[in-house]
Amino acid sequence: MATKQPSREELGSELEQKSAEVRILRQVSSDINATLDLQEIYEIVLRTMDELFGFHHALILLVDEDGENLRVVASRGYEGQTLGGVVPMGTGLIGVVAKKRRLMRLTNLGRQRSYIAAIRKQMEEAGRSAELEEAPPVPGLPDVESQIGIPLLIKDNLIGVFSIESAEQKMFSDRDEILVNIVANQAASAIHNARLYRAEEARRAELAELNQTLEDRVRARTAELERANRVLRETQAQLVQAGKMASLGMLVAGVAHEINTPIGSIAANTDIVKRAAEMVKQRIEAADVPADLAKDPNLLLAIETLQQASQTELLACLRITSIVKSLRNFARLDESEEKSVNLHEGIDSTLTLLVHELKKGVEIVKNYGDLPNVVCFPSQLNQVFMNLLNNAISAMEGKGTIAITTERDGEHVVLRFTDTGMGIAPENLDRIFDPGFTTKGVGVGTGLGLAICYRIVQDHHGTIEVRSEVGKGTEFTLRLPISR
Amino acid sequence: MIPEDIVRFLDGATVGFGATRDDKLVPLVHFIVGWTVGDDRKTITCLFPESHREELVSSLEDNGRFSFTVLGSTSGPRASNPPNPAVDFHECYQFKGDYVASCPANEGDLALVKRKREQFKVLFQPLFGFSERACNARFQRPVLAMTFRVQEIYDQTPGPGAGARIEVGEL
Amino acid sequence: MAQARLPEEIRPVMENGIPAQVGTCSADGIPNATDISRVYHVDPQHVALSNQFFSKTVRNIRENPRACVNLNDIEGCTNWILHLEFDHSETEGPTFDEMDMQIEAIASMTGMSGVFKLRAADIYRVTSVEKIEYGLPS
Repeated sequence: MATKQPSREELGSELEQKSAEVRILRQVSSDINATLDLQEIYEIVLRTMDELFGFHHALILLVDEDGENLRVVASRGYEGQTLGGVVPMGTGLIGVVAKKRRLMRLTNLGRQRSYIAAIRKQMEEAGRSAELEEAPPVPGLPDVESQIGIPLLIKDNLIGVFSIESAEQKMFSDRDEILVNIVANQAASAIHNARLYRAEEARRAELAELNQTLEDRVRARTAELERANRVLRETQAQLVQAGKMASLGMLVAGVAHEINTPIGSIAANTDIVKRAAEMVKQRIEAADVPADLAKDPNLLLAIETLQQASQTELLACLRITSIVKSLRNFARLDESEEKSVNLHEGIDSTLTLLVHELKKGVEIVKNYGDLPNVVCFPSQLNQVFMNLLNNAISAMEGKGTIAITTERDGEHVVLRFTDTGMGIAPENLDRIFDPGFTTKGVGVGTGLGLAICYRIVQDHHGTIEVRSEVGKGTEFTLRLPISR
Repeated sequence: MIPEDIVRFLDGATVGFGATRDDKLVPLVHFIVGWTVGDDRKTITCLFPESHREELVSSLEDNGRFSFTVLGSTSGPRASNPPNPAVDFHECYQFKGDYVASCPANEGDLALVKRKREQFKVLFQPLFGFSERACNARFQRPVLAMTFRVQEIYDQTPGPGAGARIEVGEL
Repeated sequence: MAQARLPEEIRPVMENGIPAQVGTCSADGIPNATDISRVYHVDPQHVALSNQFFSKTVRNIRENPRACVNLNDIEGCTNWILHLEFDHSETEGPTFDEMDMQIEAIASMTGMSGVFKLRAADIYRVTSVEKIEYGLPS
């Protein structure tokens, strides 16, 4: 059968058409490769299909991460929702193109649907409905007549499918298939590159965020460590102090026991001597002895001296006993649990232990209010009193006045320790309770005393505040709950 | 006899074609533009256009074997209710039998063909996108009326059950 | 052996979705005529018919390899008569894959995946091609 030869005009027209197609393809290639933005790539491809080739319905689908489905990422010419629409692998033209990784073109699908419907009816009538499935809903034209599906491949890896459809009963020609295939291949490369770029950017951002997070975590960790270090030092100081107090307590217990026995003996014997001297004096005054002996001034002086010395010794014994008692009171080792105590006793015991320091020129002024007993750890509060009084004496360089005022304020007691010492510089006021802070020289003080006081008061659910004026003096105010 | 519901189907059907074979068993497909069932309901007369008329007659005179397949009806026993042309179109039966006689087609035959053409246009032209010209071209002027006696009837509706013989008793 | 070539203009007719008619004949001389949904173009000298159901057509071809196909060109108002001779059956290869892919796509989009499955692609040699042009009836 002889085929008709094309005319000059027809050849010319065909040449012009092909030239136009080449120009379009070149432009598309240039536009696609000029961007790494996925949405721009999709837009270029779909616009080319629509405006330049006249394919008004097109979908771009990418394979999901699970590899089981394809998802619409871009569409053109569809009303309603197609973006995000899913096509399972192996379903319809798109799914089969993806599964087989080959281009496919179907035409006159309406007639085929009619043919299939007839077969379905026959099967239903023959009672074979169980072999039939529901037609799956897939994105695209419901009345599609012609469709081309092209796999988007990078080497042998499937990244998606490109589909163009028509509701007209025309076929896409071989030429159409070639053009769409060329554009789809370019799109595949561009999409792949854009995704690589996007993944790279995401990784960079993730790394930057990770770095920032690491820095933040290091900072937080450092702060945490510093806090822990501070707590450790406070605890250490407390332990040391507690250890000291425990040692002191044991020492006191031992010393008290050793002292009390001879002191008791001395007191008893001294009392005997005193009474014996009194008896001798009484016998002399009763004229039972010779007159020259009764009036002997040396004898009378000796008796009086004996009496005075015995009295002094007795007072000294009482004093020693009082000191031992104060020391025991201060250590209060036998009282390691919470007790309801008279805080004035604690303050007084502490003052007793500091009597040597106070003698040098420090005046104590006590304004004790009517305080109820307070539930506390007595030995710990005694530490606080010791620290505050010691600091006050130190600040006054041994000369000045310490006023101790106590009063009740509702469910709290308030204790004020005011000295007339050198005062604390304003810039140091915020830091005096910081562990390690000291105004004394290196090696002179540990800088932990007030930190320990702060901690002890906090543990008692109380507060400690300081007011000071350089050159005038300092006042520490303790506020403690009566019961916890 | 051809069952009554099949007769009704034939009356409403619009697409028909036949097959013959020559003395070398080479088959030939023929376009059929119209048909009627004999009053005895044992024969069918088919109307043929000019194309391949000589081969048709030659084969029939050689061996008499003829096969007639017909579809495109909305009045068959399997028709949907209400009618669904897209589905009903494919209901299809094949009649196999032996040549009885033939004669030139007449004006009555032409009228029948035109009626079939109009039936087809109404039911199926929009469905399958036939142009007016294509519809007219399908239904050529008949030149030959050929009658054959039906021996067997088969259900050819597409699907897994296609080809099942319909038991109709003695024909 | 007779051999003919399919002209390029027949390809769109083969893909127009209008059922074609295929005539076969058994070894004992009984002709058979049936509709088929599609005749596949393999190359200019071969076509393929899908073998989905083991039908009378397939049985006849196994006995007598000759077939006749009528294609309906509804746009050009012509018919094409092809005489074919069965060559071989394929269950793999490019032709089978192409047909299988198309059948799978249509089956899956119409819920017929369990029913429509290509058993084989029957390849036929084209022995003659005839184009019949119809004029308008008077």
